[in-house]
Amino acid sequence: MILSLAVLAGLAAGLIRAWIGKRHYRPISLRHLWLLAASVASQVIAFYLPATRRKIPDSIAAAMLVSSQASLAIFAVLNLTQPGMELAGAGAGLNMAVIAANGGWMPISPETVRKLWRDVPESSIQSNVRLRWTKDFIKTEDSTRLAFLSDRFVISFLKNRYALSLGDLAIALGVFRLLWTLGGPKNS
Amino acid sequence: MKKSNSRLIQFVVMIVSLVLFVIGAGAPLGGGSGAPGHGG
Repeated sequence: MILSLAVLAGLAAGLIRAWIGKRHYRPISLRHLWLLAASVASQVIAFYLPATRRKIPDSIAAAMLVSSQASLAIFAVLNLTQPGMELAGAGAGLNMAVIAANGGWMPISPETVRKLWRDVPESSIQSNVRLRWTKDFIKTEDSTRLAFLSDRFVISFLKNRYALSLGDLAIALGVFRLLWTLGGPKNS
Repeated sequence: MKKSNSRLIQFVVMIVSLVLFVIGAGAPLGGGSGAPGHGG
């Protein structure tokens, strides 16, 4: 849920900004929500619902991930008139690029996996395997295309650790900026 | 429908949409003491 925190933080910051400026918070209407709904629904089926994800072969799940990432990047482009969506869209595009370049999975190095689960024996971390039901695939840096866009930035939050990509950071910043701007003056 | 109601609906739809967007477009990985999971 780490990226959802960007929504929460941006909303809180925007509401405080509006309150300090004695303004109304101005919610916006995003366009082409059907594209968002279809993309997320395909990911829910392939990655989140236990009843469906175990029936879907990895090759199909990878294809579903690439197509849904592309749809989400297009969704951001179709909403470029909104502040912050250029950054969020760039983040979605970067994630799509690295996922598409690595067989439909987000690559993560064994070193980064070790940082996430420090108590797991080193010998049990193998390369070239999908990490359970996640979007991630363990690959060495040498065999990863666009490695600088992979899940490689490890942060700690509330006793948990998370690995994020450059695209994830851009998405978080873009969404934060959008929600912050809605609490500002109309022409900001 | 009252203007305040439609504004509230617009607000809720916006927040839900943005949460869905970050969950879908993002690809963080959650670690720690539990099993591997989506970082959403």
